[in-house]
Amino acid sequence: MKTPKSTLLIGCGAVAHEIVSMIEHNGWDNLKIQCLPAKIHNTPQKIPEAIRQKIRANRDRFDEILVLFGDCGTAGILDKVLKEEGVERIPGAHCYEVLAGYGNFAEMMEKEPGSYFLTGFLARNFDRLVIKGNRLDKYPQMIARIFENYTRVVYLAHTDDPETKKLAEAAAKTLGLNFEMRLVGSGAFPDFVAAKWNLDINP
Amino acid sequence: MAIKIDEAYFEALADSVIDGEDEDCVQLVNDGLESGVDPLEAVEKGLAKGINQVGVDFGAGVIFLPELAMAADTMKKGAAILDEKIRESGAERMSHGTIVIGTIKGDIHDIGKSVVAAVLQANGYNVVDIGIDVSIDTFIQALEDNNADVLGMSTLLTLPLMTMGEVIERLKEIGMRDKIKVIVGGCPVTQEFADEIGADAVGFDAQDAVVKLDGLMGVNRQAAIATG
Ligand code: B12
Repeated sequence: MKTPKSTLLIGCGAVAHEIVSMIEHNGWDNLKIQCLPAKIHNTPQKIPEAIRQKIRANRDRFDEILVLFGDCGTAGILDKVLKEEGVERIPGAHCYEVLAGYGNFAEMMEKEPGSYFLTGFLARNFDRLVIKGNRLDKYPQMIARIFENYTRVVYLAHTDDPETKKLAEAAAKTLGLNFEMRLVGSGAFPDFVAAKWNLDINP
Repeated sequence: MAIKIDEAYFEALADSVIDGEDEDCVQLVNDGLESGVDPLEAVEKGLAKGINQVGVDFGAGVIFLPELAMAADTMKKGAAILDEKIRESGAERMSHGTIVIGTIKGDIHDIGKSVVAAVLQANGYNVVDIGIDVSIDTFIQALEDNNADVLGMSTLLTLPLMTMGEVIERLKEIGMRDKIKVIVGGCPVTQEFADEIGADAVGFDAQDAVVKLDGLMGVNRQAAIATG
């Protein structure tokens, strides 16, 4: 079965790569994607309105809209906004949970509560988003304090690209944490999108 | 080192918290004690003033996360020395009640919780901070051990939210709910959610935590000031 004539996926810049590659890999050509900038993660109170604006700006241009954001710390306000706009979103607390796969995420947190997750995007933009984003460039001595409760970095790898892996490893080193890689592909995104319109997933 | 205990001293103490200079703060506290400062006054006119200002500055976007964490940690170090002195002297620091506070199991974010702990302490509450990833059993045990009046629970993650409700359920099961006020906070916690799990209040930031807790504990700061 095909998706509606034209469909917009609203995603987060932090997982744009994974979503685009899911569309390409499965040949879901009717799906278009637009992302909010990844740094909006650090100010969750801005997420619901930003998504509302995206929906309103695109409503006339697409037959259907689907949001690929978790609650992302918006305290349920995102869900309220989406209800008002009549748009559905992927289940989940945040993109790490979706990307790792719901059960996998819970299992990793259970096994090691001090897990800090990196996506490919975060690994590539670690300095800008994690270090500078939290003003840790000004206070490098505070890196150890901010991450004192953490024990390992789990890199949720989209592919086994060695360049990105190197960057993720370097990030773990900067944080003084152990490093682990999990190959996750596009996580739970494809199953959710496929189930929505009964689409086939390519192996 | 003997120093003069005057307004400038208390201001310097407050500034050491605002600037997150823990070594300066400890030095000032120790010098002050050597020079006969009243430890109660040092908390109230120095540390408390500093951390309250930091809370306001963070809310206004004037300072950022590392500065906030540095200030909370500095306040904690200074207060530990002064509290010890207060206890030794047998003086009773005015306390509006004892609160056991922690981040709920499944979450290890700690800065917000630590700031709330520091600000509550600065505002006359006896605070027992039991850390992060706290299980239901540990919360209950700490409440009993400290004969606490208030339970404070924090989380910034959506997934562990429901565990907050389970702690409240446990309090009911063991017949402690009527004795303990419950206040919750953290970015995914709304008033609606607090009502749903049967918490008494939600604090949206540290100053709000003081206001809400004062309400629950019947503390009237205006009256306290007016009557000296
Ligand atoms: C700093 C931060 C971190 C730091 C934590 C450092 C530390 N030592 O605590 C680091 C970078 C390590 C981190 C890690 C993670 N984080 Co984080 N983090 C944040 C961020 C940017 C700010 C939190 C903060 O400290 N704010 C400053 C304090 C002062 O504010 P606050 O915590 O809100 O606390 C105030 C009030 O809420 C209230 N309050 C808080 N607790 C209590 C308790 C009581 C009793 C009361 C009355 C009041 C109260 O008063 C406080 C003082 O004003 C938030 C986004 C945001 N802006 O909230 C994301 C955020 C909380 N993190 C998030 C996520 C997903 C994670 C990670 C999973 C990410 C990852 N890459 O792995 C990990 C956690 C993994 C794990 N094992 O738990 C999400 C949570 C989403 C969700 N729905 O669950 C958020 C919302 C970001 C997002 N939009 O995705 N994080």
